[in-house]
Amino acid sequence: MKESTNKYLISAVILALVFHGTTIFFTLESTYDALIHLFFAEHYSTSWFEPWNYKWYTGFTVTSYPPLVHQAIAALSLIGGLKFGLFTVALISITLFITGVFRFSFLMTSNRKVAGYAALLAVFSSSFLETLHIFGQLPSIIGVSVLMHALPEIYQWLKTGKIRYFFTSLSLISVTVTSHHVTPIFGMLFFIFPLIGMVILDICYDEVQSYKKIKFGLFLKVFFRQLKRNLIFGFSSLFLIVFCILPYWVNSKNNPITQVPIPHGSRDNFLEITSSGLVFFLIPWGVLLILLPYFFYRYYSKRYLFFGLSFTMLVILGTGGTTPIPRMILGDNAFNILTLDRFTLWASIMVLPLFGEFAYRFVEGDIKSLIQRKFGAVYHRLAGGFLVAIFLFMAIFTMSLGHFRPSQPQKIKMLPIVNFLNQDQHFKWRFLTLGFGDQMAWLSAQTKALTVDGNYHSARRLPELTTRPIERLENSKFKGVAGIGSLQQFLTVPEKYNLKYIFSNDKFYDPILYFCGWQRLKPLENGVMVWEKLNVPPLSSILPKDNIATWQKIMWGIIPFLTVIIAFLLNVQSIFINGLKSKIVKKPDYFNYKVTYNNFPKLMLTISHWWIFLLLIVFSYGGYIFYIKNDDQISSNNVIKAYYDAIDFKEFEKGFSLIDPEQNIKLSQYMLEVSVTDGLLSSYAKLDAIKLKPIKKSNAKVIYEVKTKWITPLEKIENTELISVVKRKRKWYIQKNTLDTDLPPDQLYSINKTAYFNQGRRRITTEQTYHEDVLKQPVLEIISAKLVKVNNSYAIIGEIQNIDNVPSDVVLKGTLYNDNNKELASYNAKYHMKHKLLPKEVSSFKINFEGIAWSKTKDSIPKTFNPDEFTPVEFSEQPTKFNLQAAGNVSNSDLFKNIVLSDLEIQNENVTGTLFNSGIQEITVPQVLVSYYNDDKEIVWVDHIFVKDGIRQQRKRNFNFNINKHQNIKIISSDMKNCFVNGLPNSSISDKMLPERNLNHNYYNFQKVDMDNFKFLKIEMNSYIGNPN
Amino acid sequence: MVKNNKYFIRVIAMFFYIIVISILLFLVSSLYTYLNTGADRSKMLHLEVKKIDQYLPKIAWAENGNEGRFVDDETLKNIENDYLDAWYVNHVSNKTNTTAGIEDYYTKNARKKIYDFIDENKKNNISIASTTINHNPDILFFSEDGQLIVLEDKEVIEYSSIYENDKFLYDYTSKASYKMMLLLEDGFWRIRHKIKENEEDLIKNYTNVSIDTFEIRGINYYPQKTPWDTFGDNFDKDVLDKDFKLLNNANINTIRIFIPYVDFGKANVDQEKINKLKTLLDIAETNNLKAVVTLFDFYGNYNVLDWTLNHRHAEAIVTNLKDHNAILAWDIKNEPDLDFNSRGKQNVIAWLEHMSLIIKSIDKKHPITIGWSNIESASILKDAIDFISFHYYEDVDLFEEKFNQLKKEIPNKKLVLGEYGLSSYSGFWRPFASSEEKQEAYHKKMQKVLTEKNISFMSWTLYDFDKVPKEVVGSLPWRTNPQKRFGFIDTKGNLKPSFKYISKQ
Amino acid sequence: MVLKRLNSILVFCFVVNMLTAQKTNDIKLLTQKKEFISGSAIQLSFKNTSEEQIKLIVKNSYGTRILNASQKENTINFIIPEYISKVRGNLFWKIISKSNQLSGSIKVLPREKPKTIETYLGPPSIIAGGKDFTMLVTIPTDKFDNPLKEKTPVNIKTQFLENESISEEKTNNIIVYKNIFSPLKSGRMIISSESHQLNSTEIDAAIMPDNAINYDIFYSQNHNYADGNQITSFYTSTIRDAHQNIISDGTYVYFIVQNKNNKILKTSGTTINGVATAKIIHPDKEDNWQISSYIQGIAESNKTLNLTFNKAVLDYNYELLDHNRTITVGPIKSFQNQMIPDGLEVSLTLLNEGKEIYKTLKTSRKGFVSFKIDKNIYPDGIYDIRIKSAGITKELQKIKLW
Repeated sequence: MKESTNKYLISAVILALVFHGTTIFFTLESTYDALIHLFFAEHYSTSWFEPWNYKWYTGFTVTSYPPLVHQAIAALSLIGGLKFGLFTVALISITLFITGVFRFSFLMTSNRKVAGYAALLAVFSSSFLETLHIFGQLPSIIGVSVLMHALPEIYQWLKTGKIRYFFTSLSLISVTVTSHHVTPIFGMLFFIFPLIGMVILDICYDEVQSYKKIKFGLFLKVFFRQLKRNLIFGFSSLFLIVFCILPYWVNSKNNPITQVPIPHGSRDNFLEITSSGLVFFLIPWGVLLILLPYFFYRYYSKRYLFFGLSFTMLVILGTGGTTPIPRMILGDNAFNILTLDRFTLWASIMVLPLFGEFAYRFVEGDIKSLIQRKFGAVYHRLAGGFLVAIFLFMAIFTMSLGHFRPSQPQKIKMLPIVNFLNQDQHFKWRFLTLGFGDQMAWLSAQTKALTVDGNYHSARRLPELTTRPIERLENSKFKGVAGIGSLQQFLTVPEKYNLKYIFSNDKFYDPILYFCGWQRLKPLENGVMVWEKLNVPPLSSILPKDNIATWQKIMWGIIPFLTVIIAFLLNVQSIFINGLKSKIVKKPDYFNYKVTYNNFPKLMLTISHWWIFLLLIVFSYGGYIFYIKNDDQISSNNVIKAYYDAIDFKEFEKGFSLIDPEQNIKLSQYMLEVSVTDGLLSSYAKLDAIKLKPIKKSNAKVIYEVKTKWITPLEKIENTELISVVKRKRKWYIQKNTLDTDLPPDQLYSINKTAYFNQGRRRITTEQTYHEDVLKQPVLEIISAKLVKVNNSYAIIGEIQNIDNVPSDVVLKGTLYNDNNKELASYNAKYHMKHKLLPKEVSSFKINFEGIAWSKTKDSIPKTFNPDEFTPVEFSEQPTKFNLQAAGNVSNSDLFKNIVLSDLEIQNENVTGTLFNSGIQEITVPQVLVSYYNDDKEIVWVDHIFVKDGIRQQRKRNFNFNINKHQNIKIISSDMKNCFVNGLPNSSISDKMLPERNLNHNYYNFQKVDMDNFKFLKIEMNSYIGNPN
Repeated sequence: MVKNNKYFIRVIAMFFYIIVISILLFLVSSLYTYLNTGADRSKMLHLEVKKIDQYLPKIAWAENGNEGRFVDDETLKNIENDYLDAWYVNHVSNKTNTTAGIEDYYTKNARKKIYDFIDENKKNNISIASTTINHNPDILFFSEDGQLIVLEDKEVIEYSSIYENDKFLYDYTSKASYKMMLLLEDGFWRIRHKIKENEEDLIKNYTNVSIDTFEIRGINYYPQKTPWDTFGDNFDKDVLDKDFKLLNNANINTIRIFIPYVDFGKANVDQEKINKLKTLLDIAETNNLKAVVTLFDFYGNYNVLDWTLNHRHAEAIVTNLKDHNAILAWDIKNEPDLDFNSRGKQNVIAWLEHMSLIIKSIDKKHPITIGWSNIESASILKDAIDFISFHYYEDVDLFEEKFNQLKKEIPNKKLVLGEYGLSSYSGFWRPFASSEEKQEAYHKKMQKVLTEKNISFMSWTLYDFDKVPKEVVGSLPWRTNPQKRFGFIDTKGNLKPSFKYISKQ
Repeated sequence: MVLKRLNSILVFCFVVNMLTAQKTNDIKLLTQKKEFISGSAIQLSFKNTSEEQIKLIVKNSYGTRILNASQKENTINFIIPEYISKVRGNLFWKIISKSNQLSGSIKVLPREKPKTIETYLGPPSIIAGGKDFTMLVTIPTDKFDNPLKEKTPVNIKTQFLENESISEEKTNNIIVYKNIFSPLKSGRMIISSESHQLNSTEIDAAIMPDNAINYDIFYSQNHNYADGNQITSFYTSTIRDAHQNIISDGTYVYFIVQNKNNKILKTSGTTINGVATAKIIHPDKEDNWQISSYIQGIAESNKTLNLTFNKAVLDYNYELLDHNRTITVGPIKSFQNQMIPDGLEVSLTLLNEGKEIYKTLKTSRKGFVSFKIDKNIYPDGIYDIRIKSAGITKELQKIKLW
């Protein structure tokens, strides 16, 4: 009889399109990968056949990611723009997924109603929600869905051997290959192998009419009979996997970008790191966890035996680092390269048919009758309500996870940045975004300017779920790009990468940007601060490119769409028939292995009850632990951690609520004291570790020695404090020690200072104006320069003076040579110098030499931002000569110099001093530069310290440091004939501008100190103004 | 009992299945890991294009000072880089009629003038492959703020060959002198004004060196173990010494050796390779053998934009060895006429002509020749070279008559038979084609003619070889195997019958 | 042998003139004019008797073009396109034909009158005093952007304060350049150039003051008590260079203070109209300072100031309360017995058998500072206590804490 349309399937598709179709507009754009797909799509929309992309890193090839989804979005973007393309492809992937689940369940259970149920339930399956709405992995969704569409065709080919099915299944396999290359590979192992097993079992069933009677011998006989067909299919799909994306495989061997092993949540031990457990185990399984006994029972029946085995393996592999088994099976380096969340995703999808079957039997089938018989109808309805409640709770929890614990920073308006890059030829330099998260991909997609960073391996950074500050250090702090450079290297030697602009959306980086010589331009309308570095040459018009063979380019451009067209042509006929029921078609073979659901074993019911009971216990215990850990005032060490957490996140009111009420400090006083202190430790530090050691314990009062480790942009700081905690009415409070009450001398005072304004380029017309607007480069003079060696690391030290009449930004570039003038290393001065010099101001400097960070294949990007990141350069030969290039550029910002050394005491090795801020700006991070001189007044070494706290106007701040005890400082060479300033030899400048320099002015600066290898030290001050008013 | 052993079998089957799947999984993931590891991380850094090996005409700055500020070496190096790149970018735009890179090396107004030419040439489908051979720039003025220079470039030799609708139309060489003004913008020296003072055809005067007195009894030589790779890694002094002694006793007085272009390091020649060449010539000298050195082996590009790099290659080798008294002559290229149809006859001839001028300008003492592959093309460029050398592999009986014809055509130049020989191969691929006796007879006849007409000769190769690299005659077995058996001494080292007629009796 | 040589030469010269002869008769250049003004219509006509279709290569400084002939009876002429004929310099032409090699060149001269004058002045700012100089480079170009011919007269006009000067120069190698030496006074110099009544825009060069010469320094303060709270400010006389120009604003001047136990303190200021001011806070204990000031490497203060700071706090007392566990220091009185202003640092050190076990620093508030020694942390026992503030140290021996 003619097939009646399957109402469940239609309603499932409609429901999915409505539910997902609307929610993706709110969630998709803040997922991890969606913006990267947009970027790749934008690449294809501009240059379809040219895989080389200049925009990221210093150029990379897009053959490092399977192309189908990106090319589809690109094709659609020609109609309605990139976002239109993205959402259309997302909608297509949703429909494909639902219909895929239907056909897969129909294949498994050969019962249309059960398949309908499965499709309906698939709409809210939490693993699908997570993959689409949190991770945004469109390629892997499309890959899995098309694989599910392929399984029935493969079944038909293996069973009947008709050529038609052979081609339809291969066409679908090739679509999976081009959309997500890993899905068919592992899909082959975990989906298609069990399917082969099932086909063989079905053929045996045909011969002996009952699964029970299938002997192993018969199985073997049929296996060998089927072997030819299986092998044909196996090898042809293997060929397809390799052929369809051949350029990808060719490229992945020698493309270093894809090979950076990144720490990934799915490899953690889920019990230890609960947030990974939640995201990679609890959410994908969701309510299926409850029905596990049922699934195992059904999948270990004879017909699905092989599916059962592969399902167990998937479950175990999905547990990541919790058990050692995945590491054993995959082998160590595969374990570190592959992300294991895909196994849980496949396990949860493989089990959907049975979920539909369970729902069918629970609502209409034998389970319903069994439960009603055993426990009564009320219990049955209650149990049903309980299951549906958990199902919906998991769905809503997953959808809203992105909202409460956002994985991305706030949505940034990109237009002001794109306009800035288009003005005044700013696109001729590279830029870098800090604190943008994955949105930098969306910025790159909208501008033709190039960036140094890339977002290729946006490893699923976890949304920070726990409240504790320790895990809260958002590990998306920009650390650098393996093989190109660490953040410190980008900031110190920007001209190497033609990097001139930095868009910073996160105040954390400001100190290191300032001390590396960058200057603030102007905050854009969207609150993003633009930093600029002077003296960086523009990109040349011809950029290097790794060219790949043209045949690969043509393959890459044509094959993906070809596979879609072929697949569509071959399968449209079957979709047309099934969908519109236009022709009566012979039932597919798998239809006649229908299982009649009659006697549901009672044993299974009890097992699942016990299993649900067990889960309830585990989760309530977990909830309790979670509560214990996070409730603020329940125990003494909790309150300290909560207090640090509140300060760390500037929730001062919450912090005040934890203060001992008996100390009767009013909120306004507390706010004045705590929130007003600005400094490296109080406003730029992130808590990295906290250790509490109780010294004195009594029932109502405990004194802790609190050792805290902070990560600041400039250095790691360790701090120990004594905090006493007191218990008042079952709640613990912190006793705050009072702060210093230094009263500034003047209530209101004025100060005169010179302010500068530079017109910049008046108009860009003929050559002449081109030169008119260019200001003279300020003349600098290198007073002294030496190459010194300190326990086998080299540094160039010396003093430089701005002898011009305009303030100058100074860039110092040192290069080392060996005897026969072969260049060994070149680097710039990082923060061991004052980058902004007023006319006639002097600064000592030190240049340390660094090699490229993490360039060895085994080292990977560290988990958290490391301020002391330093990769010493390995010298093949010993450097003996150096060349120093100083470049001055007129600069009119950051010229605050009113910092006074108002007191100094030296006891044998410890130097303590007081800094006084006589200006009208609050100094956020004062820096003291100390240079050491030997007995004939020659500079020997330069060192620096950052003072942890800021200095408010007209206030004092102490600092102390130990005199640097470097014994074995060896001066290698002090000949200054290769010192150049703005390209001119240094000696010619000094003769002309300052013929007779009075050298002993410098000596009056010297503070006598008698150490064995140096006799004098000189102190200079530099200061960073956090928020200039 | 029956039941549980059925269970037992089923458990084994399931266990077996799990084992198979986990092994496969291990294999697949380690393959995936293999494909995703091992790249050299520093290759990620693509910084600017290296400038050196694109365009290297001979450039000699006049050191006669200049008006305005003193020009130090650092600035001079930057000016030279950008000045040569300006020429290079101009040649590329002439050839491809595109404007890539022009804006980096020409200022706004100068660019307009070049764009006019590019648009017009693109319309009438004209492309000009041009290069400059040498420059003698002299900085006349350097401004005080280091942003402007005026320079004069005299004796700029330019070769340009013109193609209309991709068909060769005409080529010529001219000598010009320019006066230019450059401005420093954005770190690039850009040409602002370019005035050509004068230009006229280059009169190519060939100064010939006679070689009539020396009568060549020679052989093309490769060490047995390393054919076509004389200066490779297993370069061995004793083998050379033994071979040269053997040749000397066999009344041979000249060897012809080959310099592979890429192996010697293309434009910047590898000093270690030159030392090996020098040692070979020293050994030849001790065994009083002369050497004809054939350059540009395995090179087939002839692209006009590549000329300057080839000139630097030739210049490096010739300047190093021109005073070595084992050198008899320079052979510019081995069998260049084989490239006529693949690279364009006109193009190859122009390349050879200019290469001969360059070598002549460096080494005035030694004669130069070109090893043509047959008699018909032996007369090409006959005035540019000092003696004619050609290869003869056709029928031995017709040799005398063809030689006389050539003699009539080129009366005043010495004719040298550069290569001749017969393979003694009669193996599977070419049964009964030849034999050692036939080879002996061939050489006997040849020697008779050569001694009668006292023609200088260099036979093809002393040794038989085990393998022949595929660049020589391709990889078809019926062509490579005969190529292995041209020697006078077989692979086991004993003399073949033809050895008797290796030289003049 | 000689005979053979003879006839070969004969043969050779026959061949040569046969070639050239054939060359001359069929193609002959008709236009005799060798020099053209840029932009004028240029046409090359030839008499061509051979029927061969010939083309003409035309090449100037910026590129090459192939022209086809327009035939009129047996004279063919080639019209040189305007974009080629307007470029100054040598125009090289060559006949493309199988048989002969006719080539030649004509000169395109720039037009007489300039349309634009490009002027480049570098460096844009120079130091007064006559030693430093800036260089003006002018390039007069005609309306087709060709530099004018050699020896074109160009006047260079400079204006500085009251004196204006014009000097006549001739173009040489495309450009005219002139070194303009800096006057003694600082200020702004206007420079422009003019050729054939066409004036360039004016370019200004800034004349910066020369290096400073030595200067005097002064101080001003409310009182000379070492209360650690008031500010003393130093300032300089108007610093000038050798030619009496006030040095440019923003120059960095620093003051070195050497205190009693000859430690070096440092403060700095920038000059405004030649006067630099710098501030420093009073020491909190009796001291006398030697102050000298420098512009590093260039100039220094003529004589050093010396300042003495009298003790502000003569003495202070302290009180031990609640089992000697709270130590209140104060009242700390300043010079007129007024309470010392808040913020005076008072340090307290706890010693057990001479070993420092606890050191803390607090700032005074309304003249008092109180320290609490916690019973839980420091058990009862005999301790020594040392209090240090405003340079006065008080040692309390053998205090029993219980």
